[in-house]
Amino acid sequence: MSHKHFGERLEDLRESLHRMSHDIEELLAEAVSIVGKADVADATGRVVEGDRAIDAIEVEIEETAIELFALHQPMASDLRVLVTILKINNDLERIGDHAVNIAEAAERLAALPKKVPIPPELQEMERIARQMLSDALDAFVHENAAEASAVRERDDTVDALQESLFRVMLTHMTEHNISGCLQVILIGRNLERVADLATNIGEDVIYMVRGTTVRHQAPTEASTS
Amino acid sequence: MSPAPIAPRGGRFEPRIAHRQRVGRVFHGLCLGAVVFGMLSLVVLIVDVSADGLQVLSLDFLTNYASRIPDRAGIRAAILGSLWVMSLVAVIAFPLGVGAAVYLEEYAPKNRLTRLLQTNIANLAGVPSIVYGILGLAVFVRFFALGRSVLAGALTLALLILPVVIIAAQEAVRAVPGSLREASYGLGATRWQTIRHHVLPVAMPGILTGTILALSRAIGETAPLIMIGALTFIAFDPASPLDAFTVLPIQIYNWVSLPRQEFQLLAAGGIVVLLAALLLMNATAILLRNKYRNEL
Amino acid sequence: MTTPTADTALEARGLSVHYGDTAAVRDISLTIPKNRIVAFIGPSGCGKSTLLRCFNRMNDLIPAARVSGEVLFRGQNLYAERVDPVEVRRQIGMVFQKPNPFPKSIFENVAFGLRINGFKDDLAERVEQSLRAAALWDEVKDRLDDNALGLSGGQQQRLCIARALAVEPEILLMDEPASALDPMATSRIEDLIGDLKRHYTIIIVTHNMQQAARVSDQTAFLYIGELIEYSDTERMFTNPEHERTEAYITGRFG
Repeated sequence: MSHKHFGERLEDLRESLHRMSHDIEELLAEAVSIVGKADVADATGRVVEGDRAIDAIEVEIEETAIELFALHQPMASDLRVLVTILKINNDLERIGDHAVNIAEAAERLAALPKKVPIPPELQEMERIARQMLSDALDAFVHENAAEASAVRERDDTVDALQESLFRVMLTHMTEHNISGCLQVILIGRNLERVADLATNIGEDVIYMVRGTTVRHQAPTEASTS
Repeated sequence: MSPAPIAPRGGRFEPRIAHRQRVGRVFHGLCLGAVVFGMLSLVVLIVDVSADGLQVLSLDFLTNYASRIPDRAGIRAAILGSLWVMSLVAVIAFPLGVGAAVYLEEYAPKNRLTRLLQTNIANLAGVPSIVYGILGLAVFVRFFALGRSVLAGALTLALLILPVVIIAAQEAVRAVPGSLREASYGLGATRWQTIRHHVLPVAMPGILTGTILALSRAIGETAPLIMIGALTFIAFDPASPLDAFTVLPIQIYNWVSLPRQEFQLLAAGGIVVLLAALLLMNATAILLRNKYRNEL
Repeated sequence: MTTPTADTALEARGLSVHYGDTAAVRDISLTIPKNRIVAFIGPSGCGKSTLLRCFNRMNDLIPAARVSGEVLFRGQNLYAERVDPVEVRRQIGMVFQKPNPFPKSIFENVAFGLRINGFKDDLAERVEQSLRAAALWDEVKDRLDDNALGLSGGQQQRLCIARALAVEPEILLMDEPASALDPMATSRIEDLIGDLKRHYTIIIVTHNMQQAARVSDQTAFLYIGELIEYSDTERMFTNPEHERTEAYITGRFG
């Protein structure tokens, strides 16, 4: 099979991943929008459905990538691109799962008799996490390691926000519904995981572009390599 | 009969299959005709000669010396002379020819001088045999004072067929695949070791075949031997290379030029013997070649 | 990669090969480490075979070839005046692309090198050792007197390897040793090469990149007679330095 043929199929695969990443971003946006609302049943259902569809796409992309490995034995940059596609594919699917978790937690929140106030930290986390995901995916499309590096730096912020959220909710627990506060913490945890996954995506993009593995290294060391 | 069409008509091809096949068959026929013509001529010749010659063949014919009386004439001296001469020719021409061929193919640098040598050898192969006779007379008979001996005749004939042997041997050596030489050199063999253990053994069937074919040409050579003075009337067996001699073609030629009919028959007998000798030599060549090829 | 150490088997310095006015190999310097497998890759005509043949002075056999530069082996320049190529070739052996066993018996094939180099020890034992080293003994031990040309292609090539190993070389040069063989035979040869590196240093020329990737420790990429990149195989095939190397390896040209 010719290299041209491989090139075309790789392009198709990138397209598929691109569409999937759009779907994930929308899914996450929808899940996050449910938080704090009252009438959420339909929306939650949509998120769950959306995640199932994305799972199917994930399997397809993975199977295609493995087939390309077997048939074309890609080397050097082709190899790195294909590996990165596989990993991002996996990361996106897990983000979908987290989106479902967020939607379900929001549903449980809505079912409570007494409303739990949503702290600003949570909204900040939502904003940053979604931005990180979007930037990481852009870095992949642009094949830009600098953009990918920038994503990694914001992970600490999200972690700090989650800690703060946790403490705030802990103090509120005595006054408000314990279950409700737990749901909020849960949503925060899931958003933190989304940020971690976005960071992973960033690191994978750096590997793809530079051929160096920066996972498990602190951001400042890695960005000078 | 035009072949059944299996391709669709039209398009950009006009195959004209039937026509092309017809042309092919015509050509086939012409080539066959050429072969038939050659074979037929040969068969006619052999049949004609055998018809006359076979009746003359007898033990007496083979063991008697030449005589003016047809009944008592035989080709003993001629056969022995031919045997002597051919043996010496083989012994002289083979090593010289193979040696020259090996030098030209393996040792000589590929420059203009070598190419000149090469061209000259090819030219020498085409020189008329009578010229070799004159050469033999001047150099071997007179200058080296060998007289009209078996040795002089053998040397002359050896020179005659030497270019042919060299060319045949060269072809055989050239046909040895370069990969074989490379394998040998790669193991740390010297040039001579490579030639001795690999090139020559592989080339030998070709060399032998070429040599024997050259010898079968020499056995029929008359003109050069007449030039150096092979006698036509010999009544003794040559006992050493310095003795006088005669050979089969000269004896045959001599009988043919005598007027009496009986001598014509004797000549035919001589031709049959000569042809038999040729057949024997060629058969040997083929046998040797096959033997070596099977061993390979 | 190119600084010689005590673990260097062979070093090329400024090696060039000219055929008339054309340069087939241009000013190449590199070191071959001991007991490693180095692969030369590159598109057709890039000079990798010509470079290989410099190492055992096989280019001497081609009158039109002019070699300049040095090849250092055991501290000596192989192209120095007093050095006899015959001596070199016993110590730096070669296996060729198309298997070329002698038209002799299997035994005689292996014994030839021993005989001409004046082997003083037990000949038959050495023949057996070499055939074992080439993973061929079990298949031929009952028919050592059979003609070598009756073996299959893969077996013939292993015989050629046995033949080369018999004379105890330090370095083995292999010019596309498996390219004339089917995949199974190729795979066996590759396994064999991997085993051989324990005792020998091996340089292999191959046009099959996957083979270079599977078999070698280090890879040199040549292009139009020049050395473009020379690094660890693992590095070359996941993240090469030069664009041209990248382009060749991903199949975008050549």
